[in-house]
This record gives sequence, C-alpha cells and structure tokens, in this order.
Amino acid sequence: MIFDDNRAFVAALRQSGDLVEVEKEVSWDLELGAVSRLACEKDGPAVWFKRVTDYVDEVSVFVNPVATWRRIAIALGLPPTATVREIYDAYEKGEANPIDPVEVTEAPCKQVIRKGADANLFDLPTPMLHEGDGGRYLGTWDLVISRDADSGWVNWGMYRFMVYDAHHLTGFPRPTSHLGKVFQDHYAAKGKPMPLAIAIGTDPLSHFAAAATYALGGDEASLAGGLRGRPVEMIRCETSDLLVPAHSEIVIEGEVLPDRVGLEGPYGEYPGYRTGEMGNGILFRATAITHREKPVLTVDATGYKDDSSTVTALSGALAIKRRLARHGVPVRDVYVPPEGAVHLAVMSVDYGGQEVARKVLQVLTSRRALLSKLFLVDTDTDVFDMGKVLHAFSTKCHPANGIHVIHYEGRANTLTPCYSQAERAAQKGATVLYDCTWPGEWSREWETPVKATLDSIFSEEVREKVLKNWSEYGFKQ
Amino acid sequence: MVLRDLRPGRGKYGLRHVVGVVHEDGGPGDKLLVRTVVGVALPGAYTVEILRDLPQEIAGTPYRDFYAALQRAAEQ
Repeated sequence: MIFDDNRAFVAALRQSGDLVEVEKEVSWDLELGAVSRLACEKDGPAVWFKRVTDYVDEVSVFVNPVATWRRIAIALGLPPTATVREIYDAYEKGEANPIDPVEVTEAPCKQVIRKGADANLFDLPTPMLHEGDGGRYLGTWDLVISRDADSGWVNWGMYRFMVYDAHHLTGFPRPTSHLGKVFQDHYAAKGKPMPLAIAIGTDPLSHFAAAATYALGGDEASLAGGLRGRPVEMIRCETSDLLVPAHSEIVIEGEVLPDRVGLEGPYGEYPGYRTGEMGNGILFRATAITHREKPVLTVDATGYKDDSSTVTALSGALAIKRRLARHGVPVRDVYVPPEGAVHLAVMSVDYGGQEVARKVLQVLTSRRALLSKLFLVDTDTDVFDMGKVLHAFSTKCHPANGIHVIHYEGRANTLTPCYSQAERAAQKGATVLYDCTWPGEWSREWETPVKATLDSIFSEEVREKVLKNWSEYGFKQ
Repeated sequence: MVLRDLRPGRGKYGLRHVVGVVHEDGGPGDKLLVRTVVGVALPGAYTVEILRDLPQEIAGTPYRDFYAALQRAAEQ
C-alpha cells in the first residue's frame, strides 16, 4: 500500500503496531523532545502527540516517522519485516522509474490560508527539541522547494530552520548543498530574494525524495512519483509560483533574503551531537502559511538513530554504489549503518587492494565529503551484518598497510563532531578507509588464509549433510 | 547582542536583537541565562539592561559575519 498523505501513513503504523498515540498533554518546550529522543534511542515506535501545551485542539505533532527499518518498509509498501536488502531493492526499482508530478487546483493544504501579518510562525507548536539549542526547530522532517532562477530547475531538499520570530526563520543549508549553491550563485549574487516553500507532513515517500542523495539537476518530484508508483499532486503557492505537494499538512511560503543575515544554531544534529560551528545563517521572511484543518506538524527528533539514519543512509548507500560503479570500482554492495550516523559506510568489492582503496577514497571525497570512515570488504562479508564487518576489520585490515587517509579543505562535513571548531570553519577534514580485503597479489592457493566458517572451510558435501540433518541433531533454529 | 525571550507562552525562545548592558553580579535589569556556542549554560547571576532594540532584519552577507553586521546595525 502506498500512501497519498501523512494521515494514511499514520493509520498504517497504528495497524502494524508501530505508533504510540499520546493523549496526555505534553509541553512542546523540551518534554516532547525528550520523549521523542528516548523513543529513537530505544528503536521505539513513531509518536503522535495529540495534545500539545499552548496548542491543544489546534495543532498536534507527529514525531520520528521512519526512524526504523520497519517503518521505512511500511512507507515503501513492503511488509514491516522486510530485510534491508529488500528495502534497497524496492527503493532502487522506484528510483529507476520516475513519474512526473501533476498540477491540481484544489488541495487539503489550502483549507486554511493566512497571508502577510496573519502568517504567524508562533501559531505552530514547533518544539524546543534539546535543552540548550539556539531555538525551536521547524523543518526537521520537511520538504523545501526552491527553483534555480536561471535554469528553472526545481530542487526539493530537507533542511532545518530555526524560528527567529513570528515572521522569520533562519537556516543553515550547507553552502555546498544544492539549496545553498543555488541561493548563493543565482540569487544572492544578483541581489534577488529567493522564493522558498517549506512543506511539512506530506506523504512519506515525498519526504524520502527530498532527503535523498540525488544529483544536482535531478528532479526529486519525479523521484517521489517513481517511489510511489503514481504522480505526486502539486498545487501553486499563494505568494509565489512554486508548486508544493497538495496533500501537505502545512506549507510555509516565503523568501530567503539576499542581503540579510541571521543567527542560526547551535542545534543537536543527526551525528548525535550539538556542535557550535554555526552562527551565520540565511534569513527567511514568511509571506504565507497554509494548512489543513487541525494540522499535524511532523518532526524528526534529531540525534542518534533519528530518521536520517535510515532515510539518508538508504539513498546515500545507493548513490555511493552508483558513483563507485561509474568510476570503475568493482563494487557489489554498500551499507550505511544507522549506528554510524551517516559518517560511516561499508562497501564490498569483487577485488580490493591499494589501487581500489585509493580510488574509492578519491571518488567519495571529490565534491562533498560527508563520510569520514569507510570499510572496504571482500564479497564473502555481508555488508549488512555489522558483526561480520567487525570480524573482517579485526582480522583482515593490516594495521600499517591497510589504512588509507585522504585530507581535504573546503568540502568537509561541518557537522562531524571530531573536527575542531577551526577545522569546521574551514570545512577541513579527512576520510579514512580501512581496507579489509585480501591483497590482490597474494596467491589464493598458497598465501591467502582460509576462512574457518561453515561456508568456506568445508566441502559442499559436508555442508549439505550438516544443514539437512540440523534439526535431527537437536537444534531448534 | 542576541537574546532569546524566555517568557512562557507561544512566543518563547523568539530572538531579539538589542543593545544592552550585561551585569555578572546580579545588577539591575532582567535575569539573563548565558549559554556558550555549544549551548552549555554558564553558572552565574547574570542580568541584562536593554537600552534599545535593533531591527530583526540585519543587513549583511548571508552565511557571513553576523556579529559584524549586528555591530554595524548598533552603530547606525
């Protein structure tokens, strides 16, 4: 089943047992964030807070939509027990068959329309998620729409925004992000404000598409259509000609100012830490807020094992695989484990060695270097099984010859907690690759150690006999 | 400086640009909670006397020099 809006998805989570509905009144000021954070850390269900202090009976809050593989599977129309590999396959299938969006003239997100001074950002129960954050964060589970003024290319992305006052937000889309680049190159440089729309609480796969690692110039709206198997319905904004998903719960329209600056952060982000490198943000002036009756604000309780640990990890892994294959790396599988906070990837290759290791490092750090730890393994290691990956790392990675490091400046991940504040300011960093493959020059017959597992060290005849008689020996599984 | 309004209600944590005087010893003015760049609250009985408000939209280059822009706004 594929969902046309967030409410249908919530209903499916209720049915599968992946939702907690909180009827008790909860404060948006830290309490909601603390409950939601713990739910993530326990790999718990999504949470729908029905009664939020100061906003009771007006707006409710739905948190952590897809922070587990179970909920990702449900969003993709798979059984909740689907394996990560099955989830990857479903995503790749949708990605390979994009469907263009369609424009409509009536939409649920237009049930209430507030423009100008009536568009008050404090009318939304934006939570103070972590104690000590720079402000209340909106757009932790959003879909931000912008357009390149020159080429007309429309970009969807998922970017955080901090509520500045009743009519302003500040944000920090990385300067190297698609939104950051388009704003700087095609609007700020020309002194023009950039129209922007922030859609909140639309169908889950549209949010997937917004958060996806996708090529510059890629059409995320069509990607969303492909993942859904049917087009996304879009409707025109009230104060700009941008199109937004018609089934959104809330849409905030406005413009990013080309000659104004705002203070942004700090904020407890997806790596699981609050870093203090930010301060100079971009300033957004709201021009309209439209929403459904009694809208549901969607939120990601950002931090360890949040929604990005599954969604970004999923599309990121597939993007890495494509990119490596395009550059001639004999890649088989890529996994970005949720526990690695999108800083770590495991990739299996048909053959490894120094040359392949260096190529992987170069390819994955040439433009934006978001990952800082890479594990290269042979195909006999299941990349989705971190126990086996740790075994390969412990036994096959040479402590002197198997570690490769590349340094860079101007493209490092500014949210990587181990970087100093000076490094983050200069976007300076490094990526290390642990080569857990056997050296290509070792003879397989004479030099390469033989793996002492059932799959590797026994003949097929012995294996088959043991597997056939397994339960007869008295084993239950 | 930039203040967050800590009065309860829907507008809590709204930001305000002001020119003011900070006292570290519990002097005159409103109670002030000071946090570091990573959000850690500092101990101490801080207070702030707000002398005047500055515009919410401060002229400056996006992504750059917020505090220099705020200083310029205060000097105008």
